[in-house]
Amino acid sequence: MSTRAAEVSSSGAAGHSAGAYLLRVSLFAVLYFGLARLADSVLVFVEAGEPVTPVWPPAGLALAGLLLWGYRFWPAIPLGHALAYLSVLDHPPLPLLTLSLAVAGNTAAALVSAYLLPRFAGFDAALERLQDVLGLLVVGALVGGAVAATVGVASLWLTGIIPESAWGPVWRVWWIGDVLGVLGAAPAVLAWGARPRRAVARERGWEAVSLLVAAVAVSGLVFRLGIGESYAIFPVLVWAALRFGQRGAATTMVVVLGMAAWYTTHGYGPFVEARVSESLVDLQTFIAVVAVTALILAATVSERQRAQADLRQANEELETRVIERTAQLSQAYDELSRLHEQEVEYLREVDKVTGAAAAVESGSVLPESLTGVAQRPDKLGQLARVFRRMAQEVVARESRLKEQVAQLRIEIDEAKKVRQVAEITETEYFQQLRQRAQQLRNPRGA
Amino acid sequence: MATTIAVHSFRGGTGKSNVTANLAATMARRGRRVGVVDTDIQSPGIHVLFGLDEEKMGRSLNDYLWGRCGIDEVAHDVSAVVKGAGVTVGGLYLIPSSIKAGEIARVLREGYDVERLNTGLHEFIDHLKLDYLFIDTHPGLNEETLLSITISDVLLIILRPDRQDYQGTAVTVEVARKLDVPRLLLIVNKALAALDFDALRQQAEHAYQAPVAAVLPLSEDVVQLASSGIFCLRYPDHAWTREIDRIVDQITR
Repeated sequence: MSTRAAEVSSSGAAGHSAGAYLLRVSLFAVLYFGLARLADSVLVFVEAGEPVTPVWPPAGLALAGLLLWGYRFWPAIPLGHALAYLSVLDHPPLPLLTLSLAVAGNTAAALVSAYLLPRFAGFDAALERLQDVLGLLVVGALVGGAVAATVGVASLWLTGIIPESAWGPVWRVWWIGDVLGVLGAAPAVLAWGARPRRAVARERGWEAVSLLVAAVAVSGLVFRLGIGESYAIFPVLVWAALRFGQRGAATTMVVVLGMAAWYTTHGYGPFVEARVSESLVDLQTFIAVVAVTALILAATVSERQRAQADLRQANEELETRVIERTAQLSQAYDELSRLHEQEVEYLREVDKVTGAAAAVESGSVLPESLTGVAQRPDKLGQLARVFRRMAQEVVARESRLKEQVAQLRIEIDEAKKVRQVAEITETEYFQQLRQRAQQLRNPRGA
Repeated sequence: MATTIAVHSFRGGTGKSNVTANLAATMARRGRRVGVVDTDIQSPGIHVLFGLDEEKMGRSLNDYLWGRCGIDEVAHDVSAVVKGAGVTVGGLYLIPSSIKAGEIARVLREGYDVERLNTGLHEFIDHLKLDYLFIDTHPGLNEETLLSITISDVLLIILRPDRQDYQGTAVTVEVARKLDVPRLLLIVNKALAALDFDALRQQAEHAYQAPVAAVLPLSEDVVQLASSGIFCLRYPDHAWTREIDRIVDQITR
């Protein structure tokens, strides 16, 4: 992934003094020098008097270094290369121009690849995805190797070291060496240098040791003793890829390929043929097949594991979300129930008011239940209070009216009246009064 | 020929004295010569309305009844009460009853000569040339009341809209009919404003087969003035006053 590569490079740029930079460049250069010396001294076929390096691991280290730490460490490449060249005194000296151009070609190859990889493939240095492995193969190995081979062969031809007719074979040898160097060496450096997406559990220490022992043992059996076929090495690689991811695969690959190259160039193992050129092809084919297979297998396994982990995490998240949502739902339900109860209670109170209204309408006594409702502080309570007051007023007015109607209705107890009148009229006094009424009214007229 | 008007109610508290005083005063202001006799010897009170000082009242009906003096000596001229600007007062005379406890006790104990009362009343009319004589009677139907009813030309029965008054009035009306009272008028007093006055009037006229002169409301203004004065004089434009006027119209018709 480009951002991760950029992160790595920027963290290298920031916060470090010039001294730290020089130290790291020196370290990088020394590593390069060492690897180059190793390749030059031990991994060499001699074909028709000319030394041929079947695989050029420094190309892989150069690319991996730039990818991990940043472009600005590029000086380590020419520095390491020049040191390696100068430290070897027994080969015919090359003109300075030739040497400079070739070194520039190697450096340019690493820079071009390190520049292109993140842009074309969204490269992640941990190589845990298939696209990263394919990116490394196409852009890092094939394209980078082509750049180095083209510049290198051109420098030889321009300075008259080789004739024009030698272009093809020399370019091919150079290119294949670089391609295999990148495929063989870069993954181990990248896998260990980059942060893996998922760390391998530490408790697998014994298994890792067993894997290394197995890799060394099988490689020794096949390439030193010639027992068994070269593909016997694949179970070990599969084990490494399945159990230890890209770090395990890349490391095992370095061990296996290193031993294969060493023993083959020293005349042991199944790739030794009558002609050196055939041995070269056998070994290079083996390296390419092993590297591509191991890298792709490890990346695929990592992707699968990551997918499983993602799925597990998604499941867990989903479960958490389900629990949360269930809790929310339950809370919402409780709230709804509470509201519903409130509503039911409210309606019950409303019933009391309407009941009271019905009671008043039918002329019975205002029910006591209204008192509770009237104590509510809300609108219903206000309604109940107003209604109670009105009902009381209506009752009072009605009783007043009844009283008035009673006052209006003049009822006379006739029997009683007759008795009362008789009590008066039957008296002697009344009889006299009646008889003398005329005289009394007009005493003088009598 | 003078008209004798007995004002009666079956029970006390009907506002009998108040209505009587107002009717008498109204008549006097119309230029009539009017006499008022308080025959409610047991519980006298009408004199207060005419502003007669109880201490300085002097002689009363009691003095005449006991033969202590002539009727002319117990009649008080209270015309001054009704006098006012541009009013021709015919004359207003009052024969009060004594409020002295001893006098009242004697009446209750011994009774009095009803014949002498009758004679006195006629003398009162003749002596002062009265056009109208109001007799403020004692509630109930005792001998003195029956006499008053007997000699009256017009009997005014005052009742309140109340069950007991209804029954008592029925008895009074019946008794008055037996005594051949020439004219009988009912006055319903102290009717609550909420009542339907017309309905009440119809009810009463139907129940007693007698005309209702007026249905007087229970007026707060009347209650407030109480017995300290004659309402019609104090409030000449009041609705209650107009009702009194209407009663007077019917009596003098």
